[in-house]
Amino acid sequence: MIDGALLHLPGIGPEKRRALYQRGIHTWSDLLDEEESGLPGLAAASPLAEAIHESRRAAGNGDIGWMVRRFHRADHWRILDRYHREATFIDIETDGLEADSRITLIICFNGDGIRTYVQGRNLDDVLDELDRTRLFVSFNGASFDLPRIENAFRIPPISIPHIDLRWVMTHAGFQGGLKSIEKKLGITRPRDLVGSDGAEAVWLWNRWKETGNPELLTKLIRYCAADVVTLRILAENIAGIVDGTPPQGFDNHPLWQLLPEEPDIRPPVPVQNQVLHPAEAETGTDPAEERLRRHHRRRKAQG
Amino acid sequence: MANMDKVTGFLERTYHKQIRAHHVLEPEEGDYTDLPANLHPKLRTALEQDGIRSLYRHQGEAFNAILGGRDTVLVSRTASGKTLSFFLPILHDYMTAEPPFSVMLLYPTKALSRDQENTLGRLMHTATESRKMGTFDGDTPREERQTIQRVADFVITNPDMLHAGILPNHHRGWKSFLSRLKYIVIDEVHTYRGAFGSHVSNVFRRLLRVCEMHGSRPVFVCSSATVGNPGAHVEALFHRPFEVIAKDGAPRPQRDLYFVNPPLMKTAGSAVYRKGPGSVSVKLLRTAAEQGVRTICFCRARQEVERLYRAVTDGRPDLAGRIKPYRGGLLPNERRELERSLFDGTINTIISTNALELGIDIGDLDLCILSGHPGTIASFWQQAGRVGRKASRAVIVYIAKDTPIDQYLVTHPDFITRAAVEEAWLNADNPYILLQHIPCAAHEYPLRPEESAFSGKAYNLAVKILSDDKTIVPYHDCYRYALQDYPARGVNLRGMTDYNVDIYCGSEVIGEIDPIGARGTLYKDAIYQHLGRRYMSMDLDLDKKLCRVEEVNVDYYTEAVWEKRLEMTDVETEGDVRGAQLKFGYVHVNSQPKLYKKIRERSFENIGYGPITLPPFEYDTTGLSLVPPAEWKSRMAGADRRYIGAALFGLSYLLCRTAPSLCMADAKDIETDVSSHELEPQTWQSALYLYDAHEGGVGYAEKIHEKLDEALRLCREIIDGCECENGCPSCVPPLPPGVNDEELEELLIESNAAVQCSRSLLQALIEGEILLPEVSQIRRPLPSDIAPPPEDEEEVRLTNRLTRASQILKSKREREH
Ligand SMILES: [Zn+2]
Repeated sequence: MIDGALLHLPGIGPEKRRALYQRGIHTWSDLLDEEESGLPGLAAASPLAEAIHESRRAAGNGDIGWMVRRFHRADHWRILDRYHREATFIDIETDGLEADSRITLIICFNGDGIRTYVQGRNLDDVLDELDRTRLFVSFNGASFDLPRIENAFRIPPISIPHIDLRWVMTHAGFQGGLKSIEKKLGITRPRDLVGSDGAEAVWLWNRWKETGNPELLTKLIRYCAADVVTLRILAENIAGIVDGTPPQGFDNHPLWQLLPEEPDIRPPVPVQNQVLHPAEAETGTDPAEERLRRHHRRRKAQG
Repeated sequence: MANMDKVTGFLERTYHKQIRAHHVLEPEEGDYTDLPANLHPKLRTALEQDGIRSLYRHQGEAFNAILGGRDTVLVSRTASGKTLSFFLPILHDYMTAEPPFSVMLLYPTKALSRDQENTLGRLMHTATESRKMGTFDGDTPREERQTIQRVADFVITNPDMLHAGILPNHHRGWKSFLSRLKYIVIDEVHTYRGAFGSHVSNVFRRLLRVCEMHGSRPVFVCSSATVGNPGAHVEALFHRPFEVIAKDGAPRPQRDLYFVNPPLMKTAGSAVYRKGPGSVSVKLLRTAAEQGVRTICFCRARQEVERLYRAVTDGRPDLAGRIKPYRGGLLPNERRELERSLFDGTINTIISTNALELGIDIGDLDLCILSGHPGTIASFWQQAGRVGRKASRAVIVYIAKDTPIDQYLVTHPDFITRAAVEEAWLNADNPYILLQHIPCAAHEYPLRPEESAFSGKAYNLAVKILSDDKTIVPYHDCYRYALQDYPARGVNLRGMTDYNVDIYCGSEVIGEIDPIGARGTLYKDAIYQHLGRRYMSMDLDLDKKLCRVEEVNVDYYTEAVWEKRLEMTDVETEGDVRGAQLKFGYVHVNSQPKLYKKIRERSFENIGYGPITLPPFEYDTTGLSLVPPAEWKSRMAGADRRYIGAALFGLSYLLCRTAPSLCMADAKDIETDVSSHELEPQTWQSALYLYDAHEGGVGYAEKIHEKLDEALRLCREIIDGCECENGCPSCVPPLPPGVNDEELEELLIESNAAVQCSRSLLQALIEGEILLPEVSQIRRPLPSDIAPPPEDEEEVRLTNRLTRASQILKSKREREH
C-alpha cells in the first residue's frame, strides 16, 4: 500500500499515474522493474529512480515525518493505513467560536486509550502527550486545532507529523464536515450524542463552569471523544473508503464502548527534570532577589 | 509683523517692572550642501518642484550615513527639516531596492498626528506614486489594521502599540512586515529616558529578537532634541553603537526671549507670596488671542492647564472658541479634533501640558509662553522651539513660578542660554522592568537557552522568579509562557503601576489616570478639573479601577498630604561628606495620602481639611540617605534640638526641586523626605532621603549621588540669591512640607529657622564649616483685616470630619507604638 504512493515522484501527475495503472504499474517496485525493460528516463541515476529509492528508505525506516512531508496529499491515506495503530487522534473544544476563544478541552486517543485534558485541571499535560506522539491525526487540525494549541501554550510550531483527515476524505470523494461524512458512511454515534454540535459544546462548557454539574462536563467529554472515535474508525477503514468499498456495519462499532462514562482526568505525568537555563545555578537568598520577589508578589496580588 | 508688535508692546508696557531680562537671539544663517549626486531622479525632480535645490549640511550627512547602513542619531532642533533627513535616503533606497522592504516609523506619543503621515505621504506620493503607508495606533479601526498589515511598507506607530499590538502578533499579521523590516525611524528619541526609556529599551530588545527570527536586521534612524549625551543615550537604549550627527545647519529667525518674574505680594499678615504666572499669562494670552497671534502656552501640570483656561476665558465668551486647553488625559477623538482645529486656524491659542512639547507639527506658531520652567534646559528649548519655524520673528515669554529652580533661572537669565544641556539616562536592566518584559518576550516566542537580546544577572534573576511562580514553565530546552492571557496588556510603558483608573461622570468616561495619580488627586471628595469644568470625586475604587465624579460648582481645589515611611534596606555604597554619612542603596518606601487640604482658588487660602482613607502604596527603589555631620548636630542641639529637623526638612524641600534639573528628570521622578530611625532605645537619628519615584530605580538618584556636591552648591546659591527675608517657596518656605512634629512646627511657623538652618547645614556639607543659624522670630501679624469666610454648613461638616479623621489617625498612631 505505502509503496503505491506515486504522486510525489518527479514527472508523475494524475494523468501519468492513470497511464501507468493501465500498464499494470502500481508500486515503486513496478516502476523500478520497468527500468529493466529499457524504458527511457529510468536509468539508475535518474531523478525518478533516486526518488523511489529515497521513498523506500523512508518507508523502511518508518520515517513518518518524511512521508507526510513529501507524499502528495492524495497519498496520505496510505500512511494512515499503515500507521494508524501508532497515531494519536486529537480533537479540541473551545469556549467560543471566535478566533481568540480559549481551549477548554483536548481529547487524545491512541493505543493507551482516550485521554482527557481539561482547562483549569490538567490541560498543560497534553504537551507531554504531544512529545510522545509519532503521528497526529485530526479533522481540520491544520487550520484549527494545531494553531490553537500552539497559540494556547505559546510554543513554536509543532513539528510532529500530522495528517488532516479532512483532506484525506476530500481526496477520497467525501467533502464536508465530519457529521456529514458519518452520515454518508452510516456511522452512528451513541444515542445521547446524536444531534450535538460545536455550539452545544461551547454551551456545555460555559454551563459547566457556572453550575459545576459534572454531568455537563461528562457530556462534553463524550461529545468531543466521539469525534476522535469517528476519526479512528475512518483511519482503520481508510483503504476500503478510498477504494469505494467501505465496510458495512459501522453502527455499534466496538470503539464506541471506549467513550468515557465520567470525567476521567488522569493525574499529570511527572515531568522529567530537565537541565534548565539560565537561572538554575543561583539559589540562596540575595537581598536584591528577595526584594524583587516581594515586589512580584505584590504586583500579582494587585492582579 | 504688526500684530506681534502689539503683543510685545502690551507685554513691555504692562509688565515692565516684572521683566527681568530681554534677550534677543540673533538670526542664524543656514549651512547648505548640494543635493546628493546619486539621488534618484524622481526624488530630485520632486524636490526641485518644491523649490528645494540644496540640503542643510546635516541632511546631507544623514543621507550618507543612513544609506551606508549605519545606525544613526540626528541631533537637531524641531525646525530643521527632520522629515527630509530621514526619508530622503530611505525613499531613495526604497525606490532603488527590489523587492520592497518595510519601514517602521515610531513617534513617542500615543496621540500620533495624522499630519506626519500627510507630509510624508505627499513626498511618498510624488516619489513612488503609491500610498503604501498607514498609521497603526490605538485609534486605527479594526478593518484598516488588516489592510495595513497586508499592504503597507511604511507603518507609523508608537512604542505602546509596538509593545501591545505588533509584537504579540509578530508571527501572524505582522510576520511579512517584520521579515522585510529594513529601517526603524524613531522620532524624538530623547523622550525615551528614565523609567519610560527603560521600558522602551526592552520593547526594542523584544522587537530585535523577533526580527532576528523572521530574518531581518533593521537599521535604526533616530532624531533627538539636544541632550548632553545623544550618542551614549541611544547606545544605552538600543545596545549598539551609533553614528551621531550633531550639527544643525538650518537657519533661524530672530527670537525675543523675555524673562518675567511676577511681583511679590504682602498679605494682611506678614506672609509674603509671589503672584502666580497667571497674573501675567492671563492678560498676555487674551491679548495674543485678540490679535490673532498664533500662540502656545505650556503649563507643568494638567490641572494648571485647566485652571489657566478657566481664568483666561472667564467673562470672555468671545475668546472661548479660539482658545483651547490640551493635555494628555483627553480621549482620542477630543484630542484629534483639537489638533485639527489648531491646524486649520479655527483655534489660534492653545494651553497645553508638555504633551505638545513633542514634535507634532501643528503649523507655525509665533508666541510661546512658558508658565513655569519645564524642568530641564533641554525641554525649555524644546518648548521654546515650537516657535520660529518660519523665517519670521518669534517671541518666547518665560514666566517664573515661585519654585526654587524658577527663581534661580529668572534671576540668572544667562544660565538658560549658556548652561550645558542635561544628559539623558535610563536603565534597561532595571529588574522590576525586566520582570514585566520577560513574560511578554516568552509569550512572543519561548525563551531559548541563549538569547542574544537578553542576558546578565538581572535577566537570570527575572527568569528564575518567573519560573518559580510558573509564569513561565520549561518546555523542551526553553521556557514557554504558561498563562492564558496577553502579558503585554498588563504592562504600561508609561507608569509604575500597570493599569489606568477610568473616570466616570454618569455613564460616560471623561478621562483616565494612573493609580498613583488617582491616589493623590481622585480620593473621595477631591476636586478634579477637566476641560475647564470641575468635578468632585464621589468614590475611588482602585480594585474596580474606576472613579465616579459629579460636576460641582466650587471655588477651591484640593491637595493631598502624604505620610511616608522610608528605610534603607540594602546599602550599596557608603561614604563620608565632610563628616556627614552618605549612603546609596535600596530604599523601601511606604507612602499613604492621609489628609487633603482645601485651597481657595484665587487667594490660595487653606480653607479646611478632610480625611483620605486609602491603603498605603509600597515599593522598593534606589536612593541616597544623608545623615548630617555629628559635630554639626551637636552644635545645633546645643542651641536648639529642633534646628536639625528644620535644616533637614528645608534641604529636603530644596533638593527635591533642584535635583531634577541636574539629571534630566521630571519633577515627579524624584522624591525626597526626612525619616527617623531608632538607632538604640531612645536614640533617634534623622536622615534626609532622595530616591527615584520608580520601582527598582532608574538612575536619577544615582546621578544625584554622584553629583551631590553640585546639587548642594546649587541649593546654597538659590538660598543666597533669594529676595525674601525669612524664607519663601522660591528657596525654603518657613514651613516645608512633611513636618508633622508639633514642637518643630511651632519653631518653624513663626521664624526664619527653616531657611537659616538649611543654610547652616549646606555650609557644613560644602565647606565643612559650622555656623550657628541666626534664627529670629517673625513678628506676629496684626489681627487680619480680612474677614474670615462665613461659617457654612459645609465647613461645619468638614470640621466634624476632620475631627473624626484626626481621632482615627491618633488611635492608629497609638496602636503602632
Ligand atoms: Zn526665598
